Amino acid sequence: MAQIALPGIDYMVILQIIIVFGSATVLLLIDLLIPANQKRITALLALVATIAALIAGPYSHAGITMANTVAFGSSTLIVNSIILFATAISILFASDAMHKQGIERGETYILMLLATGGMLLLAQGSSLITLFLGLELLSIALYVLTAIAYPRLASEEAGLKYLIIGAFGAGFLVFGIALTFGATGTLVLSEIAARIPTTGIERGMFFTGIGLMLVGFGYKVSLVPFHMWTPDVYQGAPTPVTSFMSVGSKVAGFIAIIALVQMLGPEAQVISPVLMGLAVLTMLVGSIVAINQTSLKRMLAYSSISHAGFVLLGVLGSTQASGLRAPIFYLAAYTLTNLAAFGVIMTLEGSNERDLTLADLRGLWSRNPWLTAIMALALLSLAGVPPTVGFLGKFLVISAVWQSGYAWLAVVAAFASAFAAFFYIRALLSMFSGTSEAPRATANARSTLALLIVAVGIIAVGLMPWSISALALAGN
Amino acid sequence: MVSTLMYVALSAFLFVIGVLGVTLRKSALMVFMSVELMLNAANLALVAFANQWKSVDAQIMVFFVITIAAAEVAVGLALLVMIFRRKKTTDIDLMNTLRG
Repeated sequence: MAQIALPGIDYMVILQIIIVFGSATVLLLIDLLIPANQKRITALLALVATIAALIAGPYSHAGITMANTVAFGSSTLIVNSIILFATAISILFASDAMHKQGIERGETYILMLLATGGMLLLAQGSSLITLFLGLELLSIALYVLTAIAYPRLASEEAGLKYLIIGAFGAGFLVFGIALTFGATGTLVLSEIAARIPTTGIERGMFFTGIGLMLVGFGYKVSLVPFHMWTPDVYQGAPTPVTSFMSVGSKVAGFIAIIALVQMLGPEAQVISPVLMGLAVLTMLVGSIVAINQTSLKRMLAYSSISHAGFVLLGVLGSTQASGLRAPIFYLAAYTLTNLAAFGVIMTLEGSNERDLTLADLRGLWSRNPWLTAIMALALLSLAGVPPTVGFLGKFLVISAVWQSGYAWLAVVAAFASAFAAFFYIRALLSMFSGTSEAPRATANARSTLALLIVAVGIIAVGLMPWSISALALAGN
Repeated sequence: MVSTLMYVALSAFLFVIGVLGVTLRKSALMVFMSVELMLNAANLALVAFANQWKSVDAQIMVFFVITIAAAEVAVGLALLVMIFRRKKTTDIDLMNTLRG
């Protein structure tokens, strides 16, 4: 009988993934013993696991393991830290907001850990198999999380809609993987890079495959024209879940797109016109359609679409000169800012199931000055006003694009951010005008802590951008 | 011996049927079936290419795809049953609680 040679595994390369998946599995069991009104204990345990994984980052080994399917390096360390940070903050928010709404369930935190594991796998994946697995692990957990506000019909419909669109995108991804494999005979990214066909039908097949994979990931990060699901799902999902998925799945999805573009190397110029078109469409459509929205969550959904365009612009810039600095910094900035904005919305919602509109922001200053200050900071950062982190993100992306020689793209990006600023400023002004009869919103210790961390982060990283690159140096 | 190209042509054909099914069908069940068709079309292509390149990597990929597809449909059907209990329909065009 033929021997099967098993590939060696360096467990230190996949340390963070092991911690997250391992603790999710153990928590499934522990959660059984925790009474239904004490689910904040599950939240606490999930938080401890997330922080443990965050701390394990600098101790992980750089390298590639498991038959070249999973890798770890200094940029992975930053991305993993962003993802785990977002998870930790989301757990804090969720344990407050979901408790107030009466939909706190132990599974929420376990599913969040499982989704986080998928995101880490996506960020560390160096083979098409792991990219696919990571994407699906994160997606399936998010489908359930979206629908977790049972018995709310809106939440369930959003879950089903997300699932159908997500599975549709997965179909494109797998078919793209099949064609790419057909053209190169391997699934490992570094080997594909060495075997990109130069002529003939294989070359056509290869780039068709890449295109289909971009469609698959495009659905996940909601690039226009693959964005139709975003507003409905963001609005229907419980707000803590919306906040988690708007940052986590976007960061992870973009890392996969970056991995594909890096794999192509100089051949990336073949697809760069497509990327440019997608980026321009995404920025403009996201910014312009957001102006018409009254629901805060829908507005932030379109804002997240327009931000996806900016990240794609950064990816485009990364094919030329400044590397991955711009897109990864932009993702970090977007994560901090979006968590702050959704955190304030969750606190304002309180025990109220109703979807908040712009009108609910009126006179916020007169009843919740601190919340108003944090929301104002988040809106300014989303609009890209200095000295916030959002400004720096936009600056890095636009200058990367400019240096790559796409001056017109930089101009379009500037226009798009001017459009986008319009509705952020409108929301900002309405908070300071008028007075309202609505009761004061209260946040408990957990969400106050989370809000403070992200608010300080928006200012601190905006003023000291090197703090993020220092993180990268710690990994080497 | 049937050439790899024939398999790929068949799989592309099935994939297109799947895409059309997802976009044109109204029943959520039919949409799920069409998604399965897309994934299995890709599986067929993967297996055909694995045979051409004499590599098992793509066959392993097929196992993962089958497993993931099963998990996805399990979640999908569970959601559909919950919604069906209240709305008495599986028509996805009627799932319009959310409108901007």
